[in-house]
Amino acid sequence: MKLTIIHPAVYVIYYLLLVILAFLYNDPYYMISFLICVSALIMLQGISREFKNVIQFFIPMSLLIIILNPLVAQVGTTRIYVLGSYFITLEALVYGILMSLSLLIILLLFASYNRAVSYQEMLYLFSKRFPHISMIIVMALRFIPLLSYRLTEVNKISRFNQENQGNQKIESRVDKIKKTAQMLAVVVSWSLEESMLTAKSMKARGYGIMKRTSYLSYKLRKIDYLFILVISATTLICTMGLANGFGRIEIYPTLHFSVHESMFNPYYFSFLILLLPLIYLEFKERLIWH
Amino acid sequence: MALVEFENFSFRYPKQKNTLSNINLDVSPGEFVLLCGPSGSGKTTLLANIKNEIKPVGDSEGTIYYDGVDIRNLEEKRSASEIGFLFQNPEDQFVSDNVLQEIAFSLENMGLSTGEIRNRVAEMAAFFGLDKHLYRNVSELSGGQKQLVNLCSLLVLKPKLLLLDEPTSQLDPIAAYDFLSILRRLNEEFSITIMATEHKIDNLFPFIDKAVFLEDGFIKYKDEPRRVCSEAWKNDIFRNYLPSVTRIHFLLQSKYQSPNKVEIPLNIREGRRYLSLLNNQLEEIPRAQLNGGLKLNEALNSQNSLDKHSKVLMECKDVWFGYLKEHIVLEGIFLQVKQGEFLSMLGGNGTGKTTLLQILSGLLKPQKGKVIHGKDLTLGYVHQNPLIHFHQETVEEELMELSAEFPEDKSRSTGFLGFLSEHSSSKKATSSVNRRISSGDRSVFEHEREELIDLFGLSELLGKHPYDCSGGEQQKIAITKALLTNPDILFLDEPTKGIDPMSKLHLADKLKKLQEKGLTIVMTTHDIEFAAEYTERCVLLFDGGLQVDDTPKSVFSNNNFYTTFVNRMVKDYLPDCITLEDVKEQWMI
Repeated sequence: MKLTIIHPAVYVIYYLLLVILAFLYNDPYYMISFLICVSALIMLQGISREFKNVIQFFIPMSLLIIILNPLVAQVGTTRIYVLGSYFITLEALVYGILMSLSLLIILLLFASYNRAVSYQEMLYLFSKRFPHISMIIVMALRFIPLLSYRLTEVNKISRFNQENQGNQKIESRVDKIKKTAQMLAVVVSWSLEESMLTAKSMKARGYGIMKRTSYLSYKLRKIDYLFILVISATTLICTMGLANGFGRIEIYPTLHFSVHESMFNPYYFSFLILLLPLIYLEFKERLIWH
Repeated sequence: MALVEFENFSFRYPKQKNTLSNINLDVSPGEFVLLCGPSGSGKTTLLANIKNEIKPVGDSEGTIYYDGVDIRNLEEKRSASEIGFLFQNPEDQFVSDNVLQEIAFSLENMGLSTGEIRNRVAEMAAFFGLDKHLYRNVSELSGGQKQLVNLCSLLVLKPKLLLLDEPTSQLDPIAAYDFLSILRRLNEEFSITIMATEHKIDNLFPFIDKAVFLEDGFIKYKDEPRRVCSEAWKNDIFRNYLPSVTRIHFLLQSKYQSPNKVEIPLNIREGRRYLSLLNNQLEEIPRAQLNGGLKLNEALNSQNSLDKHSKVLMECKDVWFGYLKEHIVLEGIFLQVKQGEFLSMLGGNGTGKTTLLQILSGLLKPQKGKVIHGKDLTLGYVHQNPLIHFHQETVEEELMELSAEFPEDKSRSTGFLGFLSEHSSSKKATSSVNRRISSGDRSVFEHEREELIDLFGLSELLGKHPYDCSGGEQQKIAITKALLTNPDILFLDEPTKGIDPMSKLHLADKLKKLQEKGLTIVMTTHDIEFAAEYTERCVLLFDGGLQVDDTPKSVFSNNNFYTTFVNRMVKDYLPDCITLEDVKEQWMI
């Protein structure tokens, strides 16, 4: 059950900002704090299963990036010799790692966003502006599972017919394609036939005779204003920091990064504050409902 | 003043003869009107013509008045909100995928404010007990709940007139009963005018105000139910449409004098009261003796029938199946299908009837357990939705298709009729002989197809597109198509769904004929009457298992609710009688 209630538009803005920032930052300190905070948020939202899915998708992807980038891009000055005279550069390696890190953060952000904003809330935001598009999305969401059900049924029947009409086992590829096309034709004509009814039922209930309204309605509350205030202030500071080079490190042509460099500057703190409000809200709800 | 008034109304689809002719009908506010008649008699067309938005394309003459206004000039908004139309198939009417959105859909269309929408949804959802399900996905609901959601989505608009096109034909008996009692409440407590078409009218007849019987687009009878009953009884076709209670009454009346003039019973209560009036006369029938004799006979019969079907064609052993791990549908099913029997599987919506049928026919593989059957067994399967079997332009091509694919050296092709006569020997013999006489086979096959087309009376449909045929016709085409493969076992998934009483009678007749020739039939059904009358074995699924497995007689005579109307009426006198035929035999009428 989703407990934190913020206006969906605020959610959308917040996640959008975070995704953009995930693209812009490449300082390891920033990235790692980002990753930790997003992971914490996901844990609090209680979607560890999705977390697992993301990781499963992410690991091969990131390995690919980390391995391929240095192999392909041989720019950079610090050479690491691997095999005889063949070398890769430290810069390319670091770049690959940081890139996959930011990819991971973005994937996690999307997972978390999915949890925070249901598609109905998305539709609500849409339907004000584009009522017909949102209606089409609703119908598509209903249609997809129906289509998959029909496909499985038709598939079953087709296999059944094959077994029970004693057709030869050896089939050429052309025959197979023909069969599949025939199956799809059945599914399509069946779906069209039934969609006629859906259309009738929509018309009968007065679709399209007036401007549509929505059952859902969200009002901006105090918490939403506060939220917006916090994130806009901190984002402003972060952008200023970015403009001055805080949060970005120089990789190409030569890596400039020292572990001992102090991170304690106002820009870093404001970035941390930007990450925290949703975590705070989720945590508060956790404490109340445990 | 009448709410709906038909004045010399006729309707014709393009290039066809009149579907509706010269209809004159008044419906007063608050009336409950039932339309019946064979499929193709124009019931649905009549209903759809009242609703501007979905009025069929075609030529019409005469006028329909709604509340004094010519219905074609009715404002869009008024037509949409005051006249609600409920379709037959609960599934296809859904626009969105969750309950709340579905109910709110019609209100959103009307442009009402959010507050008003919420008020109305809250009221209706509470009235229908749907408030617990508001956020559920529509695919998780049972058939009855789906139809309720659909009805609810109409009622939030506060309609004055509800048009229902066979609303319960897809529901199991209990769900159908619940749905009808809600309709009754709406009619009685809120005075909503209702016009409904329905084939199974036993539950509906007691509380309607007017019954309209249609035949070929003409109004045949139009009156208060009791008077319609006495009229319709005189007609050979329409007597089949009457409720069982009333039919028993007429049968008894022809033989026994009732003490004083009684009114025609419509529901079980009245039926029983009528029987108690005849009590003395019924007692006089030498039933005890007769009954005893019959019972003995029956016992012998059932013994015989068991022996007759001794060969087990198919067996499932400890079959488990679930679509989700959390929800297991079948939990350890043991079932034998014996040669030549007509087996029916009953049970509520979602008890796994269809799943079990698909497992038996090999469409689904059980997760645990085995389905064992002989190697050279051919199976035929007809899906719930016959549309799935069609992919040709005409019915004829649909039926020809098999012969085109018919492999030259197919081993079992002695033909349905031939193979039945010498079943055991032919199988082995033909495999070697037939290889050489394939051309002869082909003509046998042609001949056999002709025979099947004749048997099912499809010759008039051959030129039509399968999608244009009515539900009953589609069912017959699909069955014929399945039979063309010479199956040993025919699996039917709810063959009587949405079929009118006469077609059902014909279908049953045909299935019986095929069965006599040796075909084994396994079917799932919601139709208790059908199962009681024609099948030899009933299996009742409940809670993942086979609850009962016995002859229909012993299954239904033990039940109080889940049984036929006939049995409910005569229970006190003839507890073993479950069909009209039984009663006729026992009381010698």
